[in-house]
Amino acid sequence: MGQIINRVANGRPSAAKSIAIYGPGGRTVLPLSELDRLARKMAVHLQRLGISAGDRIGIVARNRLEWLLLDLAALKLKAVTAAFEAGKFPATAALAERYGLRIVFSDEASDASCILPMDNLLATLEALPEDLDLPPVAFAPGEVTTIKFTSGSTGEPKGLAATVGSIDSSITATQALFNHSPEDKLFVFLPLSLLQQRYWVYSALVYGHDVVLSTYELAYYALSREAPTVLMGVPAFFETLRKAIAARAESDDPVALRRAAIEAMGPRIRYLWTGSAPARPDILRFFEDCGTPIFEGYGMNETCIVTKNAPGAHRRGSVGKPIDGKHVSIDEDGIVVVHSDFPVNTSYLFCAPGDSERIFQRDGSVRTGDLGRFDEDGFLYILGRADDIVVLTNGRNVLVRPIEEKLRTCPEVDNCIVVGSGEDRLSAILCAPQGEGARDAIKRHIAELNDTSRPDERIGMFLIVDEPFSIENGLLTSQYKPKRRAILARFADQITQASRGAI
Amino acid sequence: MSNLESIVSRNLARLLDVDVDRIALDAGLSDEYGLTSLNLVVLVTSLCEETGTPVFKFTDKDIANLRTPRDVVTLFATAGRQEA
Repeated sequence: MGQIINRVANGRPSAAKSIAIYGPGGRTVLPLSELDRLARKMAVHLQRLGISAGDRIGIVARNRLEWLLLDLAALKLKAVTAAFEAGKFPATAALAERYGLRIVFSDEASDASCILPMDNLLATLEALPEDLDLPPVAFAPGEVTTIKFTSGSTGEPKGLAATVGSIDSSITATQALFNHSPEDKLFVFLPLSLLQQRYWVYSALVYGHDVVLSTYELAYYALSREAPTVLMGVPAFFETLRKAIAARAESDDPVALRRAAIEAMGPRIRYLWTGSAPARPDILRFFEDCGTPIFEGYGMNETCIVTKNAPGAHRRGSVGKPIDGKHVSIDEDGIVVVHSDFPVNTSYLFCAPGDSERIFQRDGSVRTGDLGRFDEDGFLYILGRADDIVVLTNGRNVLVRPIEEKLRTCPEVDNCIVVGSGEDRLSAILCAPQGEGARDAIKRHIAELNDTSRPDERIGMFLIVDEPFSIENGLLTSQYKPKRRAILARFADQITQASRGAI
Repeated sequence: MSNLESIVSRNLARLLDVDVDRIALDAGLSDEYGLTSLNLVVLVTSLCEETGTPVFKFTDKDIANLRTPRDVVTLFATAGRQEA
């Protein structure tokens, strides 16, 4: 294994490669050596604030240079970062108290004395003397560097401390698949509070390639200007990008599409990375038609990256083969179980009794709750969540996710869920921006679908809603997956009414 | 319809893949057109390009506060005035 974290903490990265950062102040470019110089100064600043090995530092901020400097400085001191998604967690004294944080850095102002603003940090660093004598640190694989937070379906988010071994193992295995080289420039815009996004900065520091860090608001702008070779995204982003490229191309002609894709993403894309949620086959196909491979993978907070499609081992529709250090089995219920040579952890922090045991097994494996199967060549396919199974009153179990995917291919349908547990037939709740105006088209689509489906998989009744499913209104998870129970609860009355006038 | 209004309507229609006549300036971007926050980012960026407005002018809150196409028109009109 590549000793990634120890090299990030102690190494002197190349001045030849750089990081470009897009934020509200504009674009900043720093050689990686300068990023490390500032991080060392930040470590000195943290020491002066009384931070030492093992102390927890909270970070509640959107992507920006100071975020990275705090993260890298914490590694240099063996302090532990607790990374909170800005906008989701308010930076308050209560947060510091709940999660045992010595100090919290925030990009928003606060009156609490333990909350420090980020805005003047760079000026503070410049005023510090250079400290070239930070003692080297050595992490053992079982030590933790950071705490991530995972949204549960109920209650407070749980904490998950990530071990150095799991980070080293994931970055090393990814590098073996994608061989990021000095020619590469990786584009990152998802929140740095997601540990995996910081991997690409660590990768730049260790393997010597360029990296771009953008806020989400500037991602689309920065993308065409930076001409990256790799774009790290999620399906919802690629769906938006697809629409934008299609709008630019103004035709389905492959040449026009390729030209529009280059205008949007620059001419150097080697591949697109997607994960976190299932990508629709038509989105994957669209980007392949544009001449850019898109590699889907699979993992969760509790396992880190488990499988990944990659150059030379790619099967569309699958989530790829297990990466080095991960061993995947399917248990007797059809659920994917992940064994890691270096597990992320073996339990949650700040969780309710029983939470850890539900997912972390005694043998160190993680029972994911996702249903999966392997094909004969070892590619993994995710079939849905175990809770995506609807049990009809006839006792038949119906896996509804594939049906939902087919419903989403209707152009009028933005999103949908299929429900029906305890009923005699399936129902669909479909979100269509045009509302009832889309009824005829949706009805036709469902009729065609029903014609080719097995009886238990036919949609008996549907409800059209025009309220979009979004993270903001609580109908999507932070990974853009529909929250079945919340959606069902929101539209329960309407679905009861609609069932009286069923199709 | 002002020039800016027609630019906003045209870009929004193109993004939604609908006829420009279907765009109403006071309709809800999210509620009625189903725009996600990422769609909105793409719309604002395209408008910056077409109108020559520096994209760094807008904060994440400026973008988050956009509710209708008219809000988008107002945002760019204000930015243009500051520029001039």
